[in-house]
Amino acid sequence: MENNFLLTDDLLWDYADGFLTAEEKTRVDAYLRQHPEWRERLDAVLAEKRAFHAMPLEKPRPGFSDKVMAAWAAETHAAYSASGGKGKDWIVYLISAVMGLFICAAFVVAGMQAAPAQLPVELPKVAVYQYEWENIFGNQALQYGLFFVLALITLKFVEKYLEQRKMLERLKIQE
Amino acid sequence: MSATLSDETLVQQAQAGRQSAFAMLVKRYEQYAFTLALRFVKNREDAHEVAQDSFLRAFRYLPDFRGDAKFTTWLYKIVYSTSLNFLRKQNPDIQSLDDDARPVHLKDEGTPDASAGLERHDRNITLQKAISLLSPDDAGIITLFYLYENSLEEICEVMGLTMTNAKTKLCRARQRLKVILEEKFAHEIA
Repeated sequence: MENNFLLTDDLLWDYADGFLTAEEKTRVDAYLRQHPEWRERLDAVLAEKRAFHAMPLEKPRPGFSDKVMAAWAAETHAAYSASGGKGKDWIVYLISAVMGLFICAAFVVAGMQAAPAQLPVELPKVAVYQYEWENIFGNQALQYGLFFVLALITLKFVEKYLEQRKMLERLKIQE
Repeated sequence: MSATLSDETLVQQAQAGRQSAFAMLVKRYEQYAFTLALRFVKNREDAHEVAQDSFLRAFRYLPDFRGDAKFTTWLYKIVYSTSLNFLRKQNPDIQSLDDDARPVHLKDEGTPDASAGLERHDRNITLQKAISLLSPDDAGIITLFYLYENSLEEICEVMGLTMTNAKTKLCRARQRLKVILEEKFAHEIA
Protein backbone atom coordinates (compact mmCIF):
# COMPACT_ATOMS: atom_id res chain seq x y z
CA MET A 1 0.00 0.00 0.00
CA GLU A 2 1.19 3.54 -0.72
CA ASN A 3 2.52 5.28 2.40
CA ASN A 4 1.16 8.68 1.37
CA PHE A 5 -2.43 7.54 1.01
CA LEU A 6 -4.74 9.14 3.55
CA LEU A 7 -8.38 8.31 3.96
CA THR A 8 -10.79 11.22 4.49
CA ASP A 9 -14.43 11.37 5.49
CA ASP A 10 -15.44 12.36 1.96
CA LEU A 11 -13.55 9.44 0.50
CA LEU A 12 -15.10 7.15 3.09
CA TRP A 13 -18.57 8.29 2.05
CA ASP A 14 -17.69 7.83 -1.61
CA TYR A 15 -16.58 4.33 -0.73
CA ALA A 16 -19.83 3.63 1.13
CA ASP A 17 -21.88 5.12 -1.74
CA GLY A 18 -20.11 3.04 -4.38
CA PHE A 19 -18.54 5.97 -6.24
CA LEU A 20 -14.97 4.68 -6.23
CA THR A 21 -13.24 2.90 -9.06
CA ALA A 22 -12.05 -0.68 -8.48
CA GLU A 23 -8.50 0.55 -7.90
CA GLU A 24 -9.57 3.20 -5.40
CA LYS A 25 -11.77 0.67 -3.60
CA THR A 26 -8.88 -1.75 -3.27
CA ARG A 27 -6.73 1.01 -1.81
CA VAL A 28 -9.40 1.92 0.74
CA ASP A 29 -9.98 -1.73 1.65
CA ALA A 30 -6.29 -2.09 2.40
CA TYR A 31 -6.29 1.10 4.47
CA LEU A 32 -9.32 -0.05 6.47
CA ARG A 33 -7.59 -3.33 7.27
CA GLN A 34 -4.62 -1.40 8.59
CA HIS A 35 -6.68 1.16 10.56
CA PRO A 36 -9.49 -0.35 12.63
CA GLU A 37 -10.62 3.09 13.86
CA TRP A 38 -11.55 3.94 10.28
CA ARG A 39 -13.42 0.65 10.10
CA GLU A 40 -15.55 1.89 12.99
CA ARG A 41 -16.17 5.16 11.19
CA LEU A 42 -17.22 3.23 8.11
CA ASP A 43 -19.71 1.31 10.26
CA ALA A 44 -21.06 4.65 11.51
CA VAL A 45 -21.37 5.89 7.92
CA LEU A 46 -23.23 2.74 6.90
CA ALA A 47 -25.51 3.14 9.93
CA GLU A 48 -26.28 6.68 8.88
CA LYS A 49 -27.08 5.51 5.35
CA ARG A 50 -29.44 2.92 6.79
CA ALA A 51 -31.04 5.67 8.89
CA PHE A 52 -31.64 7.77 5.78
CA HIS A 53 -33.18 4.83 3.97
CA ALA A 54 -35.37 3.93 6.94
CA MET A 55 -37.01 7.35 7.10
CA PRO A 56 -40.75 7.01 6.50
CA LEU A 57 -42.28 8.64 3.46
CA GLU A 58 -44.51 11.65 3.98
CA LYS A 59 -48.18 10.84 3.50
CA PRO A 60 -50.47 13.17 1.58
CA ARG A 61 -53.91 13.86 2.97
CA PRO A 62 -56.53 11.07 2.64
CA GLY A 63 -58.28 11.05 -0.70
CA PHE A 64 -55.33 12.57 -2.53
CA SER A 65 -55.32 9.94 -5.26
CA ASP A 66 -59.11 10.27 -5.74
CA LYS A 67 -58.68 14.00 -6.11
CA VAL A 68 -55.96 13.51 -8.73
CA MET A 69 -58.14 11.09 -10.69
CA ALA A 70 -61.14 13.41 -10.51
CA ALA A 71 -59.01 16.28 -11.80
CA TRP A 72 -57.69 14.05 -14.58
CA ALA A 73 -61.20 12.92 -15.54
CA ALA A 74 -62.38 16.54 -15.63
CA GLU A 75 -59.41 17.55 -17.77
CA THR A 76 -59.98 14.66 -20.18
CA HIS A 77 -63.68 15.46 -20.50
CA ALA A 78 -62.96 19.15 -21.04
CA ALA A 79 -60.43 18.29 -23.74
CA TYR A 80 -63.00 16.11 -25.51
CA SER A 81 -65.65 18.82 -25.41
CA ALA A 82 -63.19 21.43 -26.63
CA SER A 83 -62.14 19.23 -29.55
CA GLY A 84 -65.46 19.96 -31.31
CA GLY A 85 -66.72 16.42 -31.10
CA LYS A 86 -70.27 17.67 -30.63
CA GLY A 87 -70.11 20.21 -33.47
CA LYS A 88 -70.00 17.60 -36.19
CA ASP A 89 -73.29 16.01 -35.16
CA TRP A 90 -75.36 18.33 -37.38
CA ILE A 91 -73.98 16.61 -40.46
CA VAL A 92 -75.27 13.27 -39.29
CA TYR A 93 -78.65 14.71 -38.33
CA LEU A 94 -79.06 16.48 -41.68
CA ILE A 95 -78.23 13.44 -43.73
CA SER A 96 -80.46 11.28 -41.54
CA ALA A 97 -83.33 13.77 -41.89
CA VAL A 98 -83.03 13.90 -45.67
CA MET A 99 -82.89 10.12 -45.96
CA GLY A 100 -85.73 9.76 -43.51
CA LEU A 101 -87.91 12.19 -45.46
CA PHE A 102 -87.07 10.44 -48.68
CA ILE A 103 -87.95 7.02 -47.30
CA CYS A 104 -91.17 8.29 -45.69
CA ALA A 105 -92.24 10.02 -48.91
CA ALA A 106 -91.54 6.86 -50.87
CA PHE A 107 -93.69 4.79 -48.53
CA VAL A 108 -96.54 7.32 -48.57
CA VAL A 109 -96.60 7.57 -52.34
CA ALA A 110 -96.36 3.81 -52.74
CA GLY A 111 -99.15 3.37 -50.24
CA MET A 112 -101.41 5.82 -51.97
CA GLN A 113 -100.85 4.14 -55.30
CA ALA A 114 -101.63 0.75 -53.84
CA ALA A 115 -104.85 1.89 -52.16
CA PRO A 116 -107.91 -0.08 -53.35
CA ALA A 117 -110.38 1.63 -55.69
CA GLN A 118 -113.21 1.43 -53.20
CA LEU A 119 -112.59 2.04 -49.49
CA PRO A 120 -114.90 1.75 -46.51
CA VAL A 121 -114.46 5.47 -45.97
CA GLU A 122 -114.14 8.14 -48.54
CA LEU A 123 -110.66 9.56 -48.61
CA PRO A 124 -110.03 13.10 -49.84
CA LYS A 125 -109.02 13.23 -53.45
CA VAL A 126 -105.30 13.95 -53.74
CA ALA A 127 -103.63 14.56 -57.00
CA VAL A 128 -100.84 12.05 -57.12
CA TYR A 129 -98.20 12.18 -59.66
CA GLN A 130 -97.62 8.75 -61.14
CA TYR A 131 -93.96 8.22 -60.66
CA GLU A 132 -92.19 5.87 -62.91
CA TRP A 133 -90.22 4.14 -60.17
CA GLU A 134 -88.38 1.89 -62.57
CA ASN A 135 -86.96 4.88 -64.41
CA ILE A 136 -86.09 6.69 -61.23
CA PHE A 137 -84.40 3.85 -59.40
CA GLY A 138 -82.92 2.55 -62.55
CA ASN A 139 -80.95 5.74 -62.90
CA GLN A 140 -77.35 4.77 -62.18
CA ALA A 141 -76.34 8.21 -60.97
CA LEU A 142 -79.07 8.06 -58.35
CA GLN A 143 -78.03 4.59 -57.34
CA TYR A 144 -74.41 5.63 -56.90
CA GLY A 145 -75.54 8.71 -55.03
CA LEU A 146 -77.67 6.67 -52.64
CA PHE A 147 -74.88 4.18 -52.01
CA PHE A 148 -72.45 7.03 -51.34
CA VAL A 149 -74.82 8.71 -48.90
CA LEU A 150 -75.56 5.44 -47.10
CA ALA A 151 -71.85 4.64 -46.87
CA LEU A 152 -71.16 8.13 -45.52
CA ILE A 153 -73.84 7.73 -42.86
CA THR A 154 -72.53 4.31 -41.89
CA LEU A 155 -68.96 5.57 -41.55
CA LYS A 156 -70.16 8.51 -39.53
CA PHE A 157 -72.05 6.30 -37.10
CA VAL A 158 -69.02 4.01 -36.74
CA GLU A 159 -66.81 7.03 -36.03
CA LYS A 160 -69.22 8.34 -33.41
CA TYR A 161 -69.46 4.92 -31.81
CA LEU A 162 -65.68 4.54 -31.57
CA GLU A 163 -65.26 8.06 -30.18
CA GLN A 164 -67.87 7.47 -27.51
CA ARG A 165 -66.36 4.14 -26.57
CA LYS A 166 -62.93 5.72 -26.20
CA MET A 167 -64.42 8.50 -24.13
CA LEU A 168 -66.21 6.04 -21.85
CA GLU A 169 -62.95 4.16 -21.32
CA ARG A 170 -61.22 7.38 -20.35
CA LEU A 171 -63.95 8.53 -18.00
CA LYS A 172 -64.20 5.17 -16.25
CA ILE A 173 -62.84 5.46 -12.74
CA GLN A 174 -62.94 1.81 -11.85
CA GLU A 175 -63.31 -1.33 -13.86
CA MET B 1 -56.36 -5.74 -11.55
CA SER B 2 -53.31 -7.36 -9.93
CA ALA B 3 -51.28 -5.14 -7.63
CA THR B 4 -48.06 -6.72 -8.87
CA LEU B 5 -48.19 -5.24 -12.36
CA SER B 6 -44.90 -3.65 -13.32
CA ASP B 7 -44.60 0.06 -13.97
CA GLU B 8 -43.95 -0.65 -17.65
CA THR B 9 -47.20 -2.60 -17.95
CA LEU B 10 -49.19 0.06 -16.12
CA VAL B 11 -47.71 2.79 -18.27
CA GLN B 12 -48.61 0.90 -21.46
CA GLN B 13 -52.16 0.39 -20.21
CA ALA B 14 -52.41 4.04 -19.23
CA GLN B 15 -51.16 5.06 -22.66
CA ALA B 16 -53.93 2.90 -24.13
CA GLY B 17 -56.43 4.94 -22.08
CA ARG B 18 -57.22 2.60 -19.21
CA GLN B 19 -58.25 4.77 -16.31
CA SER B 20 -57.54 2.10 -13.72
CA ALA B 21 -53.89 2.05 -14.79
CA PHE B 22 -53.64 5.78 -14.10
CA ALA B 23 -55.22 5.23 -10.69
CA MET B 24 -52.76 2.46 -9.83
CA LEU B 25 -49.78 4.62 -10.77
CA VAL B 26 -51.05 7.42 -8.55
CA LYS B 27 -51.65 5.06 -5.63
CA ARG B 28 -48.24 3.50 -6.05
CA TYR B 29 -46.25 6.74 -6.18
CA GLU B 30 -48.33 9.35 -4.37
CA GLN B 31 -46.16 9.20 -1.24
CA TYR B 32 -42.94 9.36 -3.23
CA ALA B 33 -44.14 12.34 -5.26
CA PHE B 34 -45.52 14.10 -2.20
CA THR B 35 -42.38 13.53 -0.13
CA LEU B 36 -40.16 14.85 -2.90
CA ALA B 37 -42.42 17.85 -3.48
CA LEU B 38 -42.37 18.57 0.25
CA ARG B 39 -38.60 18.52 0.25
CA PHE B 40 -38.63 21.17 -2.45
CA VAL B 41 -41.46 23.48 -1.41
CA LYS B 42 -41.19 23.00 2.39
CA ASN B 43 -44.92 23.36 2.98
CA ARG B 44 -47.53 20.54 3.09
CA GLU B 45 -50.33 22.49 1.42
CA ASP B 46 -48.06 23.59 -1.40
CA ALA B 47 -46.65 20.07 -1.67
CA HIS B 48 -50.18 18.70 -2.23
CA GLU B 49 -50.71 21.16 -5.05
CA VAL B 50 -47.31 20.45 -6.60
CA ALA B 51 -47.75 16.68 -6.33
CA GLN B 52 -51.22 16.82 -7.90
CA ASP B 53 -50.01 19.08 -10.73
CA SER B 54 -47.07 16.74 -11.28
CA PHE B 55 -49.32 13.72 -11.73
CA LEU B 56 -51.60 15.62 -14.10
CA ARG B 57 -48.61 16.76 -16.14
CA ALA B 58 -47.26 13.21 -16.17
CA PHE B 59 -50.57 11.87 -17.51
CA ARG B 60 -50.87 14.70 -20.01
CA TYR B 61 -47.48 13.88 -21.50
CA LEU B 62 -47.66 10.13 -21.01
CA PRO B 63 -48.19 9.51 -24.75
CA ASP B 64 -44.72 10.99 -25.29
CA PHE B 65 -43.07 8.71 -22.69
CA ARG B 66 -41.07 6.14 -24.62
CA GLY B 67 -39.71 4.12 -21.70
CA ASP B 68 -36.08 5.14 -22.28
CA ALA B 69 -35.84 5.89 -18.57
CA LYS B 70 -37.71 4.45 -15.61
CA PHE B 71 -41.17 5.84 -15.03
CA THR B 72 -40.12 6.99 -11.54
CA THR B 73 -37.17 8.95 -12.93
CA TRP B 74 -39.49 10.66 -15.39
CA LEU B 75 -42.08 11.36 -12.67
CA TYR B 76 -39.51 12.77 -10.26
CA LYS B 77 -38.17 15.00 -13.03
CA ILE B 78 -41.68 16.37 -13.48
CA VAL B 79 -42.00 16.90 -9.71
CA TYR B 80 -38.69 18.78 -9.73
CA SER B 81 -39.66 21.08 -12.61
CA THR B 82 -43.17 21.62 -11.21
CA SER B 83 -41.68 22.54 -7.84
CA LEU B 84 -39.24 24.94 -9.45
CA ASN B 85 -42.05 26.60 -11.42
CA PHE B 86 -44.15 26.80 -8.28
CA LEU B 87 -41.37 28.47 -6.30
CA ARG B 88 -40.65 30.86 -9.18
CA LYS B 89 -44.27 32.02 -9.10
CA GLN B 90 -43.77 32.92 -5.46
CA ASN B 91 -40.31 34.40 -5.99
CA PRO B 92 -39.55 35.33 -9.61
CA ASP B 93 -35.89 35.94 -8.76
CA ILE B 94 -35.24 32.31 -7.95
CA GLN B 95 -32.96 30.66 -10.51
CA SER B 96 -32.28 27.33 -8.88
CA LEU B 97 -33.11 25.40 -5.76
CA ASP B 98 -29.52 25.33 -4.58
CA ASP B 99 -28.17 26.95 -1.49
CA ASP B 100 -24.93 28.42 -2.71
CA ALA B 101 -25.23 31.18 -0.14
CA ARG B 102 -24.85 28.77 2.75
CA PRO B 103 -21.22 27.71 3.01
CA VAL B 104 -20.39 24.48 4.72
CA HIS B 105 -18.53 24.82 8.01
CA LEU B 106 -17.51 21.70 9.78
CA LYS B 107 -16.45 21.97 13.41
CA ASP B 108 -14.18 19.00 13.30
CA GLU B 109 -13.45 16.67 10.45
CA GLY B 110 -13.05 13.81 12.88
CA THR B 111 -16.30 14.02 14.85
CA PRO B 112 -18.42 10.90 14.64
CA ASP B 113 -21.58 11.10 12.58
CA ALA B 114 -24.09 13.16 14.43
CA SER B 115 -27.12 10.95 14.11
CA ALA B 116 -25.46 7.69 14.99
CA GLY B 117 -26.41 7.81 18.65
CA LEU B 118 -30.15 8.28 18.32
CA GLU B 119 -32.86 5.77 18.90
CA ARG B 120 -34.44 4.84 15.61
CA HIS B 121 -37.77 6.63 15.97
CA ASP B 122 -36.20 9.78 17.40
CA ARG B 123 -33.56 9.57 14.73
CA ASN B 124 -36.21 9.55 12.01
CA ILE B 125 -37.91 12.60 13.44
CA THR B 126 -34.65 14.47 13.93
CA LEU B 127 -33.42 13.60 10.47
CA GLN B 128 -36.68 14.74 8.90
CA LYS B 129 -36.54 18.01 10.81
CA ALA B 130 -32.93 18.54 9.83
CA ILE B 131 -33.60 17.73 6.17
CA SER B 132 -36.49 20.19 6.16
CA LEU B 133 -33.97 22.89 7.07
CA LEU B 134 -31.81 22.16 4.06
CA SER B 135 -32.19 24.02 0.78
CA PRO B 136 -34.61 22.42 -1.68
CA ASP B 137 -31.81 21.05 -3.85
CA ASP B 138 -29.91 19.61 -0.89
CA ALA B 139 -33.04 18.06 0.60
CA GLY B 140 -34.05 16.72 -2.79
CA ILE B 141 -30.74 15.10 -3.64
CA ILE B 142 -30.44 13.49 -0.19
CA THR B 143 -33.98 12.13 -0.56
CA LEU B 144 -33.43 10.85 -4.06
CA PHE B 145 -30.12 9.15 -3.33
CA TYR B 146 -30.48 7.80 0.19
CA LEU B 147 -34.23 7.38 0.67
CA TYR B 148 -35.32 6.47 -2.85
CA GLU B 149 -31.96 4.83 -3.67
CA ASN B 150 -31.81 6.38 -7.12
CA SER B 151 -28.50 6.08 -8.92
CA LEU B 152 -26.43 9.16 -9.67
CA GLU B 153 -27.34 8.81 -13.35
CA GLU B 154 -31.04 8.94 -12.47
CA ILE B 155 -30.48 11.94 -10.21
CA CYS B 156 -28.64 13.70 -13.03
CA GLU B 157 -31.66 13.04 -15.25
CA VAL B 158 -34.13 14.31 -12.62
CA MET B 159 -32.28 17.46 -11.61
CA GLY B 160 -30.51 18.28 -14.87
CA LEU B 161 -26.99 17.86 -13.47
CA THR B 162 -23.73 16.42 -14.71
CA MET B 163 -22.23 13.47 -12.81
CA THR B 164 -19.53 15.67 -11.30
CA ASN B 165 -22.07 18.27 -10.18
CA ALA B 166 -24.31 15.61 -8.71
CA LYS B 167 -21.48 14.09 -6.67
CA THR B 168 -20.40 17.50 -5.44
CA LYS B 169 -23.94 18.48 -4.55
CA LEU B 170 -24.49 15.23 -2.67
CA CYS B 171 -21.29 15.69 -0.73
CA ARG B 172 -22.16 19.29 0.18
CA ALA B 173 -25.71 18.32 1.10
CA ARG B 174 -24.42 15.71 3.51
CA GLN B 175 -21.99 18.19 5.03
CA ARG B 176 -24.68 20.83 5.46
CA LEU B 177 -26.95 18.25 7.02
CA LYS B 178 -24.23 17.32 9.44
CA VAL B 179 -23.76 20.97 10.37
CA ILE B 180 -27.51 21.37 10.97
CA LEU B 181 -27.63 18.26 13.12
CA GLU B 182 -24.68 19.44 15.18
CA GLU B 183 -25.82 23.05 15.54
CA LYS B 184 -29.56 22.73 15.94
CA PHE B 185 -30.16 19.25 17.26
CA ALA B 186 -27.13 18.75 19.46
CA HIS B 187 -29.36 18.36 22.54
CA GLU B 188 -31.28 15.54 20.87
CA ILE B 189 -28.12 13.83 19.80
CA ALA B 190 -26.31 14.08 23.09
